[in-house]
Amino acid sequence: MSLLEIKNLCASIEGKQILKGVNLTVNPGEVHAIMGPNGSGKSTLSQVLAGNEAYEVTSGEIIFEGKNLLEMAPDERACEGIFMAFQYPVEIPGVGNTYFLKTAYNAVRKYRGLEEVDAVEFIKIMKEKAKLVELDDKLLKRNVNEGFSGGEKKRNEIFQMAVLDPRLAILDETDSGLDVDALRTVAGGVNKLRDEKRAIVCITHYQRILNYLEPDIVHILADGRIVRTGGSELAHEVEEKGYAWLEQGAA
Amino acid sequence: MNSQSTTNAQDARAFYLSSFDSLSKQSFVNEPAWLHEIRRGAIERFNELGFPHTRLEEWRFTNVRAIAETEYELAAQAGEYPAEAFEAVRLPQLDAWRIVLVDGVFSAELSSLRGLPEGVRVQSLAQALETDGALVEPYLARKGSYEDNPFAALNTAFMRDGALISIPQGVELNKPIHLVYLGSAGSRARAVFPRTLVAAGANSKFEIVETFAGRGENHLTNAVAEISLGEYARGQFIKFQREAASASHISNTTIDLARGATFLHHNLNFGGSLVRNDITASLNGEDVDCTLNGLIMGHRDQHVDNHTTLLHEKPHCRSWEMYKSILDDDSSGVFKGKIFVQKDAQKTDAKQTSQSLLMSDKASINAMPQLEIYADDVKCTHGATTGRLDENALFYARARGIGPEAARAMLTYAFAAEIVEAIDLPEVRDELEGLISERLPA
Repeated sequence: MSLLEIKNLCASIEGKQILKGVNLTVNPGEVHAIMGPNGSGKSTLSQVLAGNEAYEVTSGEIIFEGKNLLEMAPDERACEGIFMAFQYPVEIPGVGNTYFLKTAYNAVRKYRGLEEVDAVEFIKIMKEKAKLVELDDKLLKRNVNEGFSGGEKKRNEIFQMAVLDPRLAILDETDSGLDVDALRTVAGGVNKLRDEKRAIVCITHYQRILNYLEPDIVHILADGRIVRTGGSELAHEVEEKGYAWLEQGAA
Repeated sequence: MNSQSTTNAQDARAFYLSSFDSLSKQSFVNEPAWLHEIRRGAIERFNELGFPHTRLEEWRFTNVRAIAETEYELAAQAGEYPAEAFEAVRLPQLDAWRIVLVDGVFSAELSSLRGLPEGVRVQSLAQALETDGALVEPYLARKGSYEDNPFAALNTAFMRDGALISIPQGVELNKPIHLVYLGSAGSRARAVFPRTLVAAGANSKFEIVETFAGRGENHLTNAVAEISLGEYARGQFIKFQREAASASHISNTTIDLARGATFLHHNLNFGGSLVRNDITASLNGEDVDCTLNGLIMGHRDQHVDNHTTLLHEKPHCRSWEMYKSILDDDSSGVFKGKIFVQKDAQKTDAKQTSQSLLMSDKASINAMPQLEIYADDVKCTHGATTGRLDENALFYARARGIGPEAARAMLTYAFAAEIVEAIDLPEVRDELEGLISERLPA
C-alpha cells in the first residue's frame, strides 16, 4: 500500500482556485521533490496536507495509510504521522521550546496508545535528537522560535521532525532564506532522518537543496497541476532553463 | 431577603449615615478621639460624595448601583470558615508568617505569627489601635486617601480590623508575610471593611502576599491598603483576589515611596462579580523603582476594573506597568492607567503596557492610558493592544499534534506568563500558575 495518495486534489483560498487537480503517490522510503515557480500552488499543497483550515478543498481525495486525511483535524494528522516543516515557523512568546515539544510528543504518544514520558526522559530524547540535527542546546531553553535567526528556525523545524518521528515529512521551502552553510546543516539533518519506512516530500523553488537530498522522484507543479514527473535530471533542467519552458510545454 | 431589600441612592447614603451614628454610640465609643475624628471626617466626606455613578469620568464603565442599593449587614462577627477551604487558599507550601481575619475579625487561631524578628510587628489592626494607638496614628488615613473616593471614605468610617505590618529600619525579613482575608458563607449580604497598613522603615525588605478569599455570595469587600516604604526599602506585594462568584470587591491601595525605594505590586484578579481596584503609587523621592503589574482572568459575567495612578514627583525614577486581561464569556474589563510626571521629575523613565486577550465575541475591554507630563526631559511610553489568540500559532501547535483545546490553553497561558514570571516567590508563582490553569480550556 502506498503511504500517501493524492487524487485529483482541487483547493482554493478566499475563493481563489489554487490547486486544480493534483495527483501524487508517495511510497514509504521515497524522497520526492516538488518544484515549481512562485504561485504554482506549492505552499498551498503543503498547507492542505497539514490541514490548514484557511484553505478549502473543493474536490479530490487525500488517502494516508488507507485513511481519509481530509476528515482529520490538523492535530490528528500530526498524530497519524504527518509532519510539515513550515516555510515560516511561528514564534510563540511565553511558550518554551522544550515544553512545546514535550506537549506535542506526549500528545502523539497518547494518540498512538503509548505511555507519556516524563520531563527527565524527554530531555534525554531531546538532547540526542538535537545532536543529530546539530541544534544548539541553548535554543531548547528559549521560547518557541522567538528571536531565532532564519537558519535557527529551519533547524528547529528539522529538530521537531526528528523528535516527533513522522511517517511522512513535508518540507515546505525549507531551503528558503538559508545560506550555504545553514542549508548544508539542515539538509544533512534531513538525510540522517531518511529510512525505508519514512517518506519525505521536499517542496522547493530551487534545485540547490536537492543536491544534498538526492530525491528519487521530481515533480514539476505549475498552475495548480503536476505537469512533469521524472528523476533528478528534471531538477537539473529546471536549474538550467528556469520554469518558463515547462509552463509553455504544459499549456 | 429582608436585609437585602433594595433602596434608592438617597436611602443608600442614609443607611450608612444612620449605621454610623448607631455604631458611634456602641462599638466606636471607647476609641481614642483622633480615630473618631478620622471616622467622622470620612463619613462626612462620604455624605458629600455619595455613591459614584457612570456619568463620572472615573466611573464611566463601572456601575456600582447594585452595591449602593444593597443594605448590607455591617456587624463585625466572624462566621465559620471550613478548614479544607482555608487549606486551599492559605498557600500551605509557602513558609510564611500568617495573619488571618475572618469576616473582618482577627483570628488568633488561624494565624501563625511566631518567631517574628525583633521589632517587627504583624498584628491585628484593632489590637494595635487598642494598645499602641500612637504607633498607628501617623500612618492611618493620613494622606487624605479618601478625599475623592467614597468607597475609601466608607472603609475609613467603618473599618474595624485589618492588619498592621511594621518593619523597622534596616530589617530584612527572611520569610514572607501572608495576609489572609477570609469571608464566610452566609445567607445575608455582608459588607466588610478590611484595612491594611504597611510601614516599612528605611533599608528594610519585605514580601507580602495578600489573599481575599470570600465564600459569601453577594457580599461586599471594601478594602483599603496603605503602604509606605522608607528610603532604600525594598518590597514586593502580591494580591490574590479570589472572592465568591457573585461578590463585589472594591479596593483602594495607596503606596508611598521614599528615595531609592524599590517596590513591586502584583494585582491578580480571579473572583468576584463586580471588581474595582484603585492603586495609586507616589514616587516621592529620587531613584525610586516602582512596578505595577496586574492580571485579570475574567469569565461568566464578571466585571473587573483596574485604575492605576503613578505619580512621578522627583527626578530619576523608573516605573514599569504591565496589565494583562484574559476575558472569556460575557466578562468585561477596564484598565485606566494614569501617569503624572511633575515638573521636578526630570529623567523619569516610565513604561506602561496593557494587553488584552478576548476569548469570546461577547467579552470586552476598555483600556485607557492617560499621560500627563510637565517635565521636559523624560522617557514615557505606553501601549495598549487587544486581540484574540494568534491563529497562526494555534495552527502551528496543532500541526505538531497538540489538540485544539490544549493549544488554546497553552497560548492563553503564554499570554499571562510574563505576569507570572515577574513574581519573585516560586511558591506564589506555582499557585498563580495553578489558578490560571484552572480557568484555561480543559
